[in-house]
Amino acid sequence: MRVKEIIAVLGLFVTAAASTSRADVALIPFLENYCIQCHGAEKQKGDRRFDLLGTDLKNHDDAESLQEILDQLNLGEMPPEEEKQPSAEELKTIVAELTETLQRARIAARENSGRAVLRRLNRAEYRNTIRDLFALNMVDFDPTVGFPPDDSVEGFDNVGEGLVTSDYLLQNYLEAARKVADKAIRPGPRPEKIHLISKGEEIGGTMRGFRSEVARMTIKLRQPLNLSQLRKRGVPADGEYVIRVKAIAHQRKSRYKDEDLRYNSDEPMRLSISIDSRELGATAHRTIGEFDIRDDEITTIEHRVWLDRGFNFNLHWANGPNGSFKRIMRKVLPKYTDDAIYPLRNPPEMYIGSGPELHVYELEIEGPFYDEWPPAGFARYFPDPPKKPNSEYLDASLSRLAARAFRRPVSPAELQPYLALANRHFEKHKDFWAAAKYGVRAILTSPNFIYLAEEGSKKLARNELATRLSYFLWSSMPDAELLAASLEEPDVLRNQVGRMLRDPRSSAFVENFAGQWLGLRRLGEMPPDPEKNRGYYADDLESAMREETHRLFRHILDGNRSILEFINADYTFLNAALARHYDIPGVNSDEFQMVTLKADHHRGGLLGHGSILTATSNGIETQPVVRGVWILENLLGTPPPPPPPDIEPIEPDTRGLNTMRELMEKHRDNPTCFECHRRIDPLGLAMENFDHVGVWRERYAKKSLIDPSGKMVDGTTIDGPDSIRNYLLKRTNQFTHCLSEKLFIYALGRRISFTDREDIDRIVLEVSEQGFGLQELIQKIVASETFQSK
Amino acid sequence: MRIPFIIFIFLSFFHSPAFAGDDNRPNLVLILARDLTRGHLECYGGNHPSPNIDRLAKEGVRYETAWRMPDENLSKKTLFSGRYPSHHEKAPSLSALLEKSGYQSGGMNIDLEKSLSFLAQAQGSQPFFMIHFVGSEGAKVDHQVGKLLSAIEKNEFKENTLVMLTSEGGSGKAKTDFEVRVPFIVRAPFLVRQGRVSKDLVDFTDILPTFLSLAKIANTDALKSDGKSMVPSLTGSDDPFEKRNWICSESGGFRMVRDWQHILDTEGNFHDLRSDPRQAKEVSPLDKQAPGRRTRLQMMLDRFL
Amino acid sequence: MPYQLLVTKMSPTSCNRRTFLRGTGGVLMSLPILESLAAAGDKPSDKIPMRMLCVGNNFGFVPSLFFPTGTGSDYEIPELLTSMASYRDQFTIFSQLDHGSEGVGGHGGVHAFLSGVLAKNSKGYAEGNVTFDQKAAAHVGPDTRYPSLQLACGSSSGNRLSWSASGVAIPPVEDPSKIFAMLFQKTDPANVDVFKRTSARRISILDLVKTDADHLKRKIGRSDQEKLDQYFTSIRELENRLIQSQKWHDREKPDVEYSLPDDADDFDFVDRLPLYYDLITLALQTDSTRVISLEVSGIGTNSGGLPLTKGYHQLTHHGKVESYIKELKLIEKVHTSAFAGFLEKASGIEEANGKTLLDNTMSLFGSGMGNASSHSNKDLPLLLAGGGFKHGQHLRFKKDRSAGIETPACNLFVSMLQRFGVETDKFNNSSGTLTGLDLA
Repeated sequence: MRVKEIIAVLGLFVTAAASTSRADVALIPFLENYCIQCHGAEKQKGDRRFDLLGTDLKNHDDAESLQEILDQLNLGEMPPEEEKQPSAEELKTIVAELTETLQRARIAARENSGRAVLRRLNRAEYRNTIRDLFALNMVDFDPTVGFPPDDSVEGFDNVGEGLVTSDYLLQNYLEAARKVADKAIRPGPRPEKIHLISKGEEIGGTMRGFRSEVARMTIKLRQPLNLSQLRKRGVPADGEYVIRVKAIAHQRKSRYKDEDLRYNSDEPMRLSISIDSRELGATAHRTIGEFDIRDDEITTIEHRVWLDRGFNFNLHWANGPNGSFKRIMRKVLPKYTDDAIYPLRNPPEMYIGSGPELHVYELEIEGPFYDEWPPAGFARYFPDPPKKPNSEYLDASLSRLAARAFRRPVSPAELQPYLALANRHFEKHKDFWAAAKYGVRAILTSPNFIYLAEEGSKKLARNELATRLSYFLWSSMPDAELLAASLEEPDVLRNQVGRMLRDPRSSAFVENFAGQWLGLRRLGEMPPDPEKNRGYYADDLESAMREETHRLFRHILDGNRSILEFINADYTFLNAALARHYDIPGVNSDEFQMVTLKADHHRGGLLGHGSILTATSNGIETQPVVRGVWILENLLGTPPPPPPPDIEPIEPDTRGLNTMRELMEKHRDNPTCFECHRRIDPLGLAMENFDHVGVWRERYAKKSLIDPSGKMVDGTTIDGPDSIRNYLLKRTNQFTHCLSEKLFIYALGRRISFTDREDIDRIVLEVSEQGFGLQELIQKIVASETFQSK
Repeated sequence: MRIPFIIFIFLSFFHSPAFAGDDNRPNLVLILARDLTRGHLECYGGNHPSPNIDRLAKEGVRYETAWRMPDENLSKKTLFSGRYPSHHEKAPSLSALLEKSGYQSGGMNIDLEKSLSFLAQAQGSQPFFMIHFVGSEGAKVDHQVGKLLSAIEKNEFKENTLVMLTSEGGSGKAKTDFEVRVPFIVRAPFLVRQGRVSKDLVDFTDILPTFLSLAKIANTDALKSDGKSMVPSLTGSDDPFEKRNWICSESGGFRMVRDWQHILDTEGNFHDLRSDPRQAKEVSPLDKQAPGRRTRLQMMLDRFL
Repeated sequence: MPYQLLVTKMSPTSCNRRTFLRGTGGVLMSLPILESLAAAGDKPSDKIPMRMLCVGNNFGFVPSLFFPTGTGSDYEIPELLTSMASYRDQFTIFSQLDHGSEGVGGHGGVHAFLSGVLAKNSKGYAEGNVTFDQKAAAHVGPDTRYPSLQLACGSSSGNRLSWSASGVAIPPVEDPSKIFAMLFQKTDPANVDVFKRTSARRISILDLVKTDADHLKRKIGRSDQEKLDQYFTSIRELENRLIQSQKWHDREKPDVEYSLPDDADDFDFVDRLPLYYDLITLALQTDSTRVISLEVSGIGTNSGGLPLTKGYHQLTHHGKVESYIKELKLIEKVHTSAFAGFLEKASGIEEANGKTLLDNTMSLFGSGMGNASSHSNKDLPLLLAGGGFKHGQHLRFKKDRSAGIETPACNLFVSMLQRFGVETDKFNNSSGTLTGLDLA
């Protein structure tokens, strides 16, 4: 019997440190009695087989299996309800034995091996690192545009194992380095300022020619006005520009009914300013601000904005009548005058001036302005460049850059080839700045820049710890303060973590961690059908939903609030559009605000977030299986295995079936499927009252009543989202464990190994006793030995 | 022929002032040139100097799209009745209405001296109106306009006097836009502070409603006009509902209407005036706007039936 | 369609040129225009190289509509393949071939189509999860402008068709306009120098960072070193590519008289897919490359230009509901008839060895998905046309899992690799060559 061998091996491990435990002998009969019937040679339910556990515990795989067995026993999930159950005494013995055995195996394993942590920067990290290395404004500059997407492992795209390097990526690195060098190395005088003004008719746009002193917008978003002088080339240099606009809200209330114009005349008119670049096309388009415009008196807007070279700005009417101008000409105008013909195109002159319009009198741009010149990110490495910079200056500058780029002190020997490369170029072409850029490009292609390498001893060096910390909380390189801090002192470390979380750079943590933990990045992969979900696109609900979840995460993080609020917060963050979508009254602004929820909103916590409900649907209908798996995987930490590979899937036959429940029950007819689906389906079906975009519903489209009831494997009956919340709240330990593991994976950039379990279990216990604070959880992770070791 | 006809109408009404005491309604002066075209005037891009008319344009509103009727007689009838020729019927004329409401009449003069002497003796306490006819020769028209303006200004009437200059056309029957599109300038300092060029549509039916509106005479059913008061257009109103969205020129069974871009006549000619001002080309069947425009103009033509 | 497929550069000595293809309004006249370095010195007739085309889609085909019921040579043409009926002696349909449990993963198993191995299991294989087209490409070496081309109609980053020797998915080129530019757009002579200078500089940087990586390697642990090896491999591969492309900088791209519509990239799926086959035909014909893979992913927006009421993915989960299958058939027929269009073109082009382009091109058509409705990666749809094999049959392989009888799809790949000239008798989990597939 193989199990005996395993125990023997485990025993060997253990005897290296201590004597064989008396309880070891208990495991074999236990497995034989309660497990192997379903997870043995004949059946491998859930793709698990325990009679053949391998013999090499150094690979951790078998120890991981034992850990899983222990977890299942602790959770009470196994053996299943209907199977033979071990007695309480048996269970206690076996749990104690497994715990102890694994603990000793862990110690042995940790002493025996260091862990692979070499990993390259992922796309977001590369981008942020470039931003911070050269203090570049990266809002519209993305050198990583062509990078192949990073693969995810364990749901995160910063895990070394998934971050492969290929010649394609390397080619992209070379190209990105060239772009960055051109952007960041800015010698020479401060670029000259421009000051351009367009008035009335001169203003570029589609609605010109209707009275020369104003340029007008008559519908929502589709009639861009811009500075015609900038149309072809955009602004001449990267920098801050001041944009001024003089505008008037004209006839906000007019003879036209709001429903005819598809417009809300009760809102003040809003002007939006967006920027784009002819060269970069639609991807570069971005809204930079929205402004209320007063009725019948000139509102002057002044907005300071960073513009990259080649960008221009456009004005739009953000809340004007919806739909096309053509529609108004054809369908609306004839309702108001006998002189217009229905439903053909009437002359626009018959409408212009009669309805609500946003008038722009003057557009102005001035800039670029710089707080300092040369730019800080350039002067940092190339301070006070002499008139005729020489080779020494080149060496000194590139050395400064390499130390920051490699995130550690760099020896002269290491630097030598980089300096030699740049100097050869300098000698040959006599162009100092071209040579400097060439050197910068080489540094940015170096493995020392691209890889987060940790050398030497098991305990991380100070700069390595700073690096790990900054990629955890900022997805970027450490700043000078962090590199200088005595992180080995717990108080200092704690303060630094606090500072880092308050720093705006920590938004990367919210986006990248929360975004991946909760699968928010999948939002938009299977978007709702545009024809049937017009509002979803008109109000940009996708962004609003994502924002809601980000804000909840941010709120819990900033206030060190309990992570249990992810499950049952009685508040959320909504703007007017999302509140309308949720049918929650009282939110009228486009700004997000905190809203207190009532029970009949069904919304508390993540399970009521449109982002998650939409991301787990396929754009047309809900996918209860996906939702069920989502809960198991992301909140309970017990993802079901994928369908076993050696089982021929049965082709579903859904003819004549109506509801989702019937479809799924059909699926569960297959006993192989049933094994996992009885854990998945009740959770998914209990969420069926939320439709594919997260709107609450009582009935399906075909009118049949939704039945959210079901029974979990442990016998708990559930009936809708609230009952799932209660189910989760009875398992706070499991939830905390799940979140902690996810945080650890993200923080370490590698999979969790059973050797990490000790730290995780301890942290879960401590956090549970101390009020479940999210920030506290992060502090404890950072303080742990696991985090601070290779 | 024409003058007796007007006088006939004029004499058939009483003189009954509606405004007693201080009557500050504006004075109305219409200068109607015979067969004066846009090409005669520098301010319309013509190549003859017209300094006085240019000055009038600079101080007032110069209309780019103003239509007369196909010939001078129809223009005059339309001007006085406020109706298109096919709607002409016995109705109170403009002059009679103004006089009845208390306007002092400066008459309808061909003789410049007569007009000038009227302006010289006019009283400030009572508003007056006057129509001055002038020939077709550009330099002569400009000269006479200059004299009339001086007389108005000398008497300090400028501020409160509307001066309208246009052309009634000649004897031939015009059938195209470029023939009936005439110079049309209105200076009314009490309405318009700055000179301006207007693309608003106006035709000869609009003159009567304009004058009645300024004279504060209610445009009752009995006085129903086909046109619209130009006051909103003169004051620079944005609202197209207060202004014309088509204009017409009509003679016998022939009618043509236009909007800001297209023209259609009862003989089925349809043109895009922006790309084809000489009305020489067919409108492209691919033009997506044209069908709507044509249908609408046809609706306007049909309204006369 | 407003475009023309027309190749006019003619060799003055040629007398047997022929006109063919009166398909979508275009005419393609053809002559072999080999620009390969290998062929440059020789008489073209001596060396007509074997080529390879692999077409794969993400959702497979409805099995009952793809696989014939009968076997052998007198099988009845199945519904999805009716557009190919007139070429039935030019292709073979295989059934009951798959990658066993190594290719199973539902949608996540599709990418094993041409390798037989899931990326995550690649460690267990000597060659990792390299796809067999890339093995073929390595065999061609620098003889063509591009060692291989990866194309995609529609994009699905999770389901790449071709994987490199280092186990990385190769990003395909998606836009027809870009493909055309790569193959046929002349480089401005002024830019040739810039290109050369740029690649020389890049090679210098690569040399430098390679040295630096050697330093780094000495400082890190063994498992980290394995990770860093990827970096070395990448440098080597990129250097090779840059060096190869340097060789081709001085050589003009071939002339073709084929113009892509200006808005080809924005065409709906149904109109766009045939363009890829046009470009593939031209690329093979001009010997710009000898190995091409074409990934046919989603159908994009506007329902791909088809009268659909549901999404492609949703339709593949038809659950045998007739209305779903009816719509799904519309999409799948676009796949097969576009491939039929390629068969028509390629079989009409005579090359210098007296055979047709199709005879000289092994053209594989299929998917790593066996049955999307059940997420099955078993019994893959597979069809091979051309390449000088004896065709015209439906080969159904014996399968009895309980008795351990099954035939790996990799056997087909071994046969194809051998035919391509690669000396190998094994590819991943193959058990030999494919029995029943013989040379004509």
